[in-house]
Amino acid sequence: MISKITRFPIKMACLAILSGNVSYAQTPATIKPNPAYRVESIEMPDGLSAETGAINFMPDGRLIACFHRGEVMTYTPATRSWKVFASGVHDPLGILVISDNEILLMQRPELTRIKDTDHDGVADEYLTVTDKFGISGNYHEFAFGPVKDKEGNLYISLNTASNQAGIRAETRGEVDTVGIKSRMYSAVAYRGWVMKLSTDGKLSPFAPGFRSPNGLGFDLKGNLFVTDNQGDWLGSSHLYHVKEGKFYGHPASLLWTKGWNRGNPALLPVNELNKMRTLPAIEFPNSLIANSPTQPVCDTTNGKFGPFSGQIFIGEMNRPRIIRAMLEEVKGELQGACLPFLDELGLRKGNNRLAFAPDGSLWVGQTDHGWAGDKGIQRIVFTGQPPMDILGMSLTGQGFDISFTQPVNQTTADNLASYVFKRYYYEYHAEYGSKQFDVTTVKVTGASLSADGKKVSLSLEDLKPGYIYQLDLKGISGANGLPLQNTVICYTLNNLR
Amino acid sequence: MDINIIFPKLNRTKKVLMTFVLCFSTAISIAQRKDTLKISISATAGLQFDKARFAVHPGDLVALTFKNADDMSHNIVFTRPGERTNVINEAQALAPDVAERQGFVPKSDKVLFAVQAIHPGESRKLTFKAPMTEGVYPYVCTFTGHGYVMYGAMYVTNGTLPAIQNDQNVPPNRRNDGTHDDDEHDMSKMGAALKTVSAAKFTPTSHPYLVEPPTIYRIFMPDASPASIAVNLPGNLSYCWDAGTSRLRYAWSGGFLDNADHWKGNGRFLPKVVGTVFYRSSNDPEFRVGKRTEAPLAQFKGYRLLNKYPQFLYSLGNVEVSETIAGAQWEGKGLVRNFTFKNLKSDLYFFTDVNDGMAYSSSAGQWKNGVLKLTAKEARQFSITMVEKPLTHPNHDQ
Repeated sequence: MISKITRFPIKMACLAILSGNVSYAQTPATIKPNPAYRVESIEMPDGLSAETGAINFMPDGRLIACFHRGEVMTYTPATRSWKVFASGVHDPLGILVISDNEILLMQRPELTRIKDTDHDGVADEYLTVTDKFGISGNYHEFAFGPVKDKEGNLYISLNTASNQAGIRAETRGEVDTVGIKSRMYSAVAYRGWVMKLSTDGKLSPFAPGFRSPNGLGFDLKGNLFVTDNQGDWLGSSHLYHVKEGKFYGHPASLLWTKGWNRGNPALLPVNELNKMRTLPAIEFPNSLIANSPTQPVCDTTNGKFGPFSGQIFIGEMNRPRIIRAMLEEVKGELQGACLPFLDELGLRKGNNRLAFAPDGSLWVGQTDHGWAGDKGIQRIVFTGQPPMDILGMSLTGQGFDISFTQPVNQTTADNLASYVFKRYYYEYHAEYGSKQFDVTTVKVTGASLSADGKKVSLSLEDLKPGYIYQLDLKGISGANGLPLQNTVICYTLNNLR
Repeated sequence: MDINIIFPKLNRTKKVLMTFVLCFSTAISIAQRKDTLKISISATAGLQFDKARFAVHPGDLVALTFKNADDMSHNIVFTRPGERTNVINEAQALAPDVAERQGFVPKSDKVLFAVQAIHPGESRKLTFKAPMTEGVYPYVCTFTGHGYVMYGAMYVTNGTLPAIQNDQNVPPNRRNDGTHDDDEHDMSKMGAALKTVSAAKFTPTSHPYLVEPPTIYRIFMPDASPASIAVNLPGNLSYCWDAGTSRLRYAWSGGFLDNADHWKGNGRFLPKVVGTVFYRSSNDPEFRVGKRTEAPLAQFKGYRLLNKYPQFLYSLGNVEVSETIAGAQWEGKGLVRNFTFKNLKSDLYFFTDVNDGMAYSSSAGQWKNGVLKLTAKEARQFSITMVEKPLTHPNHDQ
């Protein structure tokens, strides 16, 4: 009797407190089966806290991976055996393989060349390649990379500090606390920069404007890309095409520009900063595509991983997802589109690092270190069955060309109601994140399918630069009757053709 | 009792409803507090609520301050008993734009009350009346991906709470005193314990291998630069060598490091030194080259492992130096530091602090007033032994 009575007020209280419409349990989003890919989990060694900081492959086919507590381990896929290569490194977040017994490793305080000189499988030499950057001791000052360009130069990126903590009494490098009250700040030299290590061993500042650049990568043409995470000055998460001397939007790092004499850069007028900055090549709409994107890797497998050769795969921390991105040059600048590549299928969260194995499978290292995520390593294997998916999205004079991996159904393609476009933008401002501004439906005025059924050219009522164009292709199905694996794709329209 | 004080933001209909709820519930409650109970919960680094659980009486009026002290967005959602996972799933199923608009809070009868997602540094107040039914009411952050680790338990009870060690309603890593990870270790002790239990049987530890000294961690260390290295030697001796300044900073005995707080979450908390520090370096550089007054610029260059012992490599000006440190177990708490100096063209001076509590000796050179002078030739290879001076009883020290 009492339990019946006392249950009543709870429900009433609940109804009373929730403002707005009260709706009840929603059915979880159904995940479509994806016969083109399967996800396999790699068994990790006992006793390892598999918070994966980096993964890569050695010439002999072994995986090399590093973990938060300082272990660097190799894994031989054929025998499924793990071996310790090195230990005791400081929060390692990047590995570049030099040979079967030598790597470059990015750890908090430095880039280190780690080598097994006596060929017993265990490293015995840890030589400093460069430590010419500051550390304030703030916990958020991660160091990422390195990646190597075609000329042999290396690139690393340095995270800014968080105002959730201060700096240590003792630091490495000159300290300037003028910006320390801003949300993410740069109190020591080159925090928030991408740095270049030339082949002569000199580390120099390359480009400022980054907040939390947890991922660097090159495309097939040698363009350098860096991801950055939603936060202050980032309305959503970004993929930047990084060029020397350009400024990428987060002001804290400007403090370390040569000759800077304007105080806390975060206090400059927003309009002025906005004019200075280089726009992201891709903005990832929050939640829809990404909350926390990580490392970009280019599909170099020539089809071993499916039909997306040359496109870029990016990890996502907050959900079981890998993102796919494609870029094109418009008015001399790269811009492009992003969409989910793979959701669920047994994939875990925390997809921090990606690497293609020699067999063309995509390995994914996961971490939950202080963020949403999971631990461990998985691999994604292309089964050989072609996916029914969006292949690409390209800007035209009138609208967009959408290409598909397989022919689509003519009737669905001819129906203008199959395409739902909207556009919006995220505001550039000091506050954390941004809502979507000026969300507007954009009318599709024409659709024509190519003779092979694999490309539809859409005309839009209006094309306006400075907006994300979000297309939902819910109405489209394959000529084979299959639905599209992903129906939503978002194009960052910086420049018109 | 004025309903406007408790729920100032509710509209009239809801207030009427609420008054009904309150009157109704007051009648059957015996233990609820008369005053509003103030509770503050922060979202902290490492996807945690600073309170893993708290208790209220049935029907208590609670004024909750929810603060986001982390560097990403968080919300807090109180659910009906046993519904935490279902509420997470409902939040995950929200369309992205709906999720953004609702602060990642699903509209569900499984949700009792909530604060929508707030940005880092923000805080919100939520006033609510605790349920009348005793039970465990989960609270959880339903921001994408957070819910499975970031949660806690509101106990609505007139009784006492179960021991937190066995409390299945708080995250596994909060089940000791509610503030520490379970997997904390003093590495030096752990290695020894494992050996005595069973050398053959491999027991999972903080690493996928048995931790036996010498052990090296490059890690944030207290009282040193952020580019420091901690080393544990056989005999329960440890030292901190600073790669930022290229020198030995301090040494201790009786243990190594407790990394639990540092490893947990985002690394904001430093490792703890386990044991007793018996040596700290002075602020002045130890080595001078040529002139006694000139301290050469130090640059760290890495280390090699010699039989697992790190041999630190650095330069002092144009001079190339290596340093390998071993324990001086036969003489008590102390270290033997083996040096090589290359490209040295002049005399080398090693300065000690007469008040650092250490007794020094060397394999070469001349000591005078706590300063060791070595010729360039002597300095090619030499060792310095530094051992804690025996404690002098104050009564005898006259």
